[in-house]
Amino acid sequence: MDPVVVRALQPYIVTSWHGHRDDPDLPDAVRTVWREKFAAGRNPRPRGPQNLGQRQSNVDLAFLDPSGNVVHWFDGFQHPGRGPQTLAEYTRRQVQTAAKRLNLPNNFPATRSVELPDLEGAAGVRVLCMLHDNRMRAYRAPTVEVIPLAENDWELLAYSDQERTVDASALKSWLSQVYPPGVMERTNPRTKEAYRIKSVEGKLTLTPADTRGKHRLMMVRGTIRLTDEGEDHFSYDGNLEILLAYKKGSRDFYALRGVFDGIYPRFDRMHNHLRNIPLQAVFESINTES
Amino acid sequence: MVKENLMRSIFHVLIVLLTAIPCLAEDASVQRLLAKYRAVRPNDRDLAMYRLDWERSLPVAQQRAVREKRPICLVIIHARYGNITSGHC
Repeated sequence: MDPVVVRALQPYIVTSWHGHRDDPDLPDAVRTVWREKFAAGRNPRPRGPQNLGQRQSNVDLAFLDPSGNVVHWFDGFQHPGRGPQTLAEYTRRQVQTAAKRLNLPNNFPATRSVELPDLEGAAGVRVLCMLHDNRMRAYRAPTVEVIPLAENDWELLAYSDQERTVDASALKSWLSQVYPPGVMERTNPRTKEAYRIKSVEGKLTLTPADTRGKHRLMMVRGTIRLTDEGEDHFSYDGNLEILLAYKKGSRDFYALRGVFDGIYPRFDRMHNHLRNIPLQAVFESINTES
Repeated sequence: MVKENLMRSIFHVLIVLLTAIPCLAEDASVQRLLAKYRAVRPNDRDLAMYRLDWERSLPVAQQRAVREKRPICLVIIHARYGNITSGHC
């Protein structure tokens, strides 16, 4: 995300909404934006290379005053040029326009430090996933999901001085978060809902790894295969390695760090061939140190 | 006698080495995994969108906007699904 835009958005409370025009509970702000966007003469133009610079997208940004009135909006991707730099410049201009209409001061507040989503104090696993697709810049942005740790997770990953094997499906709640950012990548053609991961398969080996002072370590290793809900049984796989740290005398881990390293087979409709794209994820525990 | 002592010393060194090698290998794999985790994990620049003041829903954002006298930036996604705060859109 462009640092200038990040700085310019510091005065705002930022939120998102998703839905369709026929939704019964359309918020007033969305209704206002879409009434103008889809008014006569602003209908979507046919998509294609000749209209690349002018087509409408399905993402809009609206700026509301504190009372909830829309003072400015723009189509997130209907910029006149091409390339990420041009899109960044276009976004900067639009954000500047909104700031003028809202009479915001030019001296923005200091940029906040990065605050990743958490579970408000509850123990969980944060999953940060990246698809390294050089042709889809937006897909390279990391996704961040936070999943609460269930009783079964603690039991499954409890310390033991003996090597053992567990089924990867038992950790499905957080391993199933390893999928590319673009939900349109794999969508049910009837419901338009993104396919979820239906199954996680594989055997994971838990091995006592090391003892350091008052701490003990275990390593989890294995190859996992993720299959989504699509009728074509689409799947991908990769290697998983997780390090667990325990305080001496405790069976419950207090810290977790892990890496998934896999390949996502993406069908390139334009060139009609399959591309194998690196898909990586890291896992980290949050609020497990009590 | 000297030869016997020498053989015994070599045997002891071998025992120590053989028991130490798996520990060293495990330690190396722990270090390698931690290094990989640090290399793969997105940095603050990649996670810049989390420098914004995100609120989980428009109604909650609007309550805060009134209370704090602040404007709202609303990202509207024309789709059945889209979770901008997680990066899935």
